[in-house]
Amino acid sequence: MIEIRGNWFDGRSSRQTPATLRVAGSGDCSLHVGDRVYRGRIRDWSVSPRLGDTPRRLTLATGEALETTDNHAVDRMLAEVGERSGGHRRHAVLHMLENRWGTVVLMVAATALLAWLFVSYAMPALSQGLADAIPGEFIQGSDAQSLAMLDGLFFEDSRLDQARQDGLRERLLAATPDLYLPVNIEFRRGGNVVGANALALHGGTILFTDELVELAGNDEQLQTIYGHELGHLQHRHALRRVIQNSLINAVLIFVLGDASGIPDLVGGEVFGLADLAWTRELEREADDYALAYMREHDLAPQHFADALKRLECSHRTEPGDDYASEEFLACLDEEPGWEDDDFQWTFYLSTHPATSERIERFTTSPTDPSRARP
Amino acid sequence: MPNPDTTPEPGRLPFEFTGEGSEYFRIAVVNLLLSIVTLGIYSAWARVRTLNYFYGNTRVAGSTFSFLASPIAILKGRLLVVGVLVGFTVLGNLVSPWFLAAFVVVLIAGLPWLVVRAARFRAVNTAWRNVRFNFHGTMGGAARSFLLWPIVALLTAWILHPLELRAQRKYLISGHGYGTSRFTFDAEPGPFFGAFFGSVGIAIVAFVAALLVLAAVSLVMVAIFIGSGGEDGLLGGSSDPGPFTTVIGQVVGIGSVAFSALAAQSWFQSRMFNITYRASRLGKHGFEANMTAPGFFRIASVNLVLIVLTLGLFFPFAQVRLARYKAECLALCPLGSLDDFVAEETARAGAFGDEAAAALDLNLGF
Repeated sequence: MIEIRGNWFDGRSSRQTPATLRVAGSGDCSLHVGDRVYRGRIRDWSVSPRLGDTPRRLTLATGEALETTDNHAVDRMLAEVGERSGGHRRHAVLHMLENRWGTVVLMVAATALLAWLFVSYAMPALSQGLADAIPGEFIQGSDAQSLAMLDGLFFEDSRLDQARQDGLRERLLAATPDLYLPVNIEFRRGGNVVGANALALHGGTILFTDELVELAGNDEQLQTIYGHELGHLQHRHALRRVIQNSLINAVLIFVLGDASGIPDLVGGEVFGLADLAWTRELEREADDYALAYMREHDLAPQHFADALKRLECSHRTEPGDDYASEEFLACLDEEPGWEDDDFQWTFYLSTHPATSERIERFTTSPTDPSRARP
Repeated sequence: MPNPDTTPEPGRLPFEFTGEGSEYFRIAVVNLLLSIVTLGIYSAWARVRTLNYFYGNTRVAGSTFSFLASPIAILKGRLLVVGVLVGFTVLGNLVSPWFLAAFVVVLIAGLPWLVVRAARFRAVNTAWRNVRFNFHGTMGGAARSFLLWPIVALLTAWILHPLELRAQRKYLISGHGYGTSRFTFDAEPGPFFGAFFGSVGIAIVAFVAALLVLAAVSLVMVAIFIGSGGEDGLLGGSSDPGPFTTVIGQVVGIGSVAFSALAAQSWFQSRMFNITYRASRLGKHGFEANMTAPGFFRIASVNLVLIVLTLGLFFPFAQVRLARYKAECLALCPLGSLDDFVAEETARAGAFGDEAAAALDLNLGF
């Protein structure tokens, strides 16, 4: 016989009456409220799960409830009358997990591990899967809006003369393989913020800045860069990014819905770093594609290495208006491997693999096809 | 436990929070891990357990609160919200940004509905002494206080923002009921202006103070840097003060800005807490609230520092500390017996509103 003392609430008013529930091992029980006694079976009561040391509610189907702070008596009663329904066993396991520091330490570790696996493996794989599943017709030409936005934020109209633009566009489009969507080539002036750069938007647009066209030593160099951007396009990298960013938001809301302060505090940083690491992975993929593209079109990979070197030197020196300053030319003549410790360290925080590493790869791989696709 | 049948209700019944940080930490960790392992499915159960932990540890007049919502209802709401969000984000990014614009329009138009559903869901699933709360607010009232007033505040450059706050509190609180009894809300506009503009003033003063601290620290840093053999110093080419000093500079910078924000928040939160509860009545029963800005600041600043230092592990402890402080600052002042509230037959509200509100971080703090 187990006695559970608590307060009785009839569910129709807020009146609180002290009461005692006596439960026998057979499952018969009697409820004593004041001097009245009700008899019944304990299985007709639903018992709220144990949660820390919060009061338990033993409720009848008709809405009356006994509320008790004597968690110990309730647990003993459940054990004794053999109330071993699935629900109660699940809840007992939950309470056991929540009640032991040993398991809690393990769970903190497991949570950290899972979060890491999720961010560095599951998320990219899932985004890539979704990106690959989207048909080209669905997104082709959808860049108009993104392009308008970029124009508003960063770009000015190209100042290259029309003949140069047309000639370059013709040359590149003629050397474009069949992709999953048609390619559209655009030129813009990058200005101070963007400078010399090329980018691939998700809907098939590949954009060159005037500065990059001017920086390039020759059109072959531009074509190798084009091959790199084609790689981004064919591997649907921009698409993958868009999807991944949406997914991250959705997942944070869904999984951490009731711990909304945590993602703000730590989530942002973690996801940011993972995103950078992942971006380097994408650059390597695009470089692989570029190497294959160069072999296909009989372009020496040295052109790409040269383009990267010029790009790097334009950042490290004052290149002068027509890329002829002494400093710039001296930088071009330096051997790879000039990067100092500072630069190596920032490698972990940069979006592209270390440039020297890339330059080396394109300098040494032309004649040996086995090195082209590691 | 006191027996209310024989003991008369004293004039002031303090709220009490009996939860423990270490206990809630373990519950929160299990919640988080199971949510991740089940790909978010468990998060609905986690939410019910979390709310029940805080409700079940909040005690007034000898009785605690309980949260009676079904996790399944919350799960459905959560799936719907995430589905809608992902759908619109993907469409907006890949097909046309117009989808995002449409989403925002739909969201604004649907805001009154969301407010009503969220408040109702929370209220009907909250019980004290086995009698449920309820929410009777209308969509029209929600549109006035959550759409119209923000526009008015915007048009007046936030000068009338305190009246917006007052309108929203009034709408939410006087819409609530406990059993068949109704809450009422009767507050003068003055204190709302004090709460808002006081916090703006504190923010400005604290921010200037933070800048001064920052300037002083920078000077000290430069002095140390020059003193420690930065021979190129200020004149030479190398102006890199080294990672250590940079980190200290950043910590001091971010820290002082965070603390100025927290000081302003402390004033605002404590004023609003007091105004809100002092102006509220349940039937003929009143409330007493005496939160202070320094008291709130003490709790919140320790929370912030420890959360940062423990990379978030302190978060559950912080929630418990805050809940305990809020309970300490609140008392119920009954006029007559608390046994006479009569329950009302209520229809259950769907979880969609509640979850949508949580997902969009609508602050319906009550």
